[in-house]
Amino acid sequence: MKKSLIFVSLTLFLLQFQTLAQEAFQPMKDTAAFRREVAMQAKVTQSIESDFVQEKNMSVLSEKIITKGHFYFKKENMLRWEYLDPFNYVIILNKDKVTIKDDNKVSRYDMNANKMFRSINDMMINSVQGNVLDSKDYTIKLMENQHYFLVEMTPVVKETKAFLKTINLYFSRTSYTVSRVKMTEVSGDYTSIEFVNQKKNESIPDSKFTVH
Amino acid sequence: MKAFLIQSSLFINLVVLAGGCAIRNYGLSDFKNTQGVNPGSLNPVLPDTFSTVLFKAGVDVYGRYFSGLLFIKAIDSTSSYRLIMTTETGLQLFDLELMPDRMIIHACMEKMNRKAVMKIIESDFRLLLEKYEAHKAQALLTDKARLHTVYRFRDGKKLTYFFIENKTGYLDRIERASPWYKKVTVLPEPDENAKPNTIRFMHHDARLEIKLKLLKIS
Repeated sequence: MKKSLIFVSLTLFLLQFQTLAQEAFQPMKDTAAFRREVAMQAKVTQSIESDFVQEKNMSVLSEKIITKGHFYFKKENMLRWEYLDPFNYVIILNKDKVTIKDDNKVSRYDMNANKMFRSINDMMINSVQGNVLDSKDYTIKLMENQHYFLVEMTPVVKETKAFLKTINLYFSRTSYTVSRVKMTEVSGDYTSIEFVNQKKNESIPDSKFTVH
Repeated sequence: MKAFLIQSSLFINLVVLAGGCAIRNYGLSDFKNTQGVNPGSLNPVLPDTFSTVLFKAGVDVYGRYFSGLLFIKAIDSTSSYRLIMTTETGLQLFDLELMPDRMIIHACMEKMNRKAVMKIIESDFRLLLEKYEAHKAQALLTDKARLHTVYRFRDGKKLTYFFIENKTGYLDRIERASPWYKKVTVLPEPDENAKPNTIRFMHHDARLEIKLKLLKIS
């Protein structure tokens, strides 16, 4: 009986170890093919719509802060990023205008007049679209495992480096779309955003990118 | 010389006006002395035993508005609190530790890390989190309509008033004042379960209002 228990425990441990080994990322073998495929997907993608689940992990807290929402992206440069649970909050990036609606409070900004908004805009749109491989603001490391292609981005710009250590983009191996984004801060705390129920190239009215 | 006289006269008028707003005309009158007041915390904005609380925070400052998530964690062993604010998208704005005698800045975005900003945050959250014992009040007052019992605490020139509604026994508001003028009002708006659904910090000496909306408490 005791031997059986040891055997079962050992098997479970080895299975777990094997799973972990499969999850581990290795340097990407065919980076040229990956770049080509991502560029092609970015080219043919006219719109993306998806739910998202955001998890904020802080070392000082034992629990994660989980928020949920929905986003719409439409070419060129139109993004609606909307939190629905546990609060209502909308960010709309439309060409060079930023609109933020917090409950009933609406704030409008000109992206060109605000370097920070420009940087956030680039980061959000490029992350959603996967159009980041040629960015001069980050050094790029390409990795893969059996589920994902991983683009690990390390900022080179001083202002971004001050608060952000890395941005990891996890691309689905089948659709070449971003399934998950992980932003790690200098402290090691991180925010992870998982995209679910993604829809590509469906019609999205322009009215989604305005606040009434 | 004439200009100097006008300036002096204006200054004297201002002093008289400020004097007119001093404590004695705060709209309160002596009620009874503090003898016989039962010991106990006067600060029921947040429950005495909370471990963590998550707020949606909105800040209106001189016509500009920004918002985020504010997480407060009680650290039992040291009577301290950890205050962490992030943007809605998860980016950390500050990580502070409020201790009984000082505040440690663990991390803070460069643009926010100004002495005046940190001082306001420290002062506002001490009002919200520190325990005020009823029997330690310096004076017990009432308003003209006798709707509230008002506990006044003095710490040097700093005065703190707790307005307790006579009818319900609930905290109506907290006010922080100098001897000359009102500085901040903290307005809790509890829900039907007495949870602090919304808390507003209204600053009277600056165009600043902080609004906290409760998302989660444990």
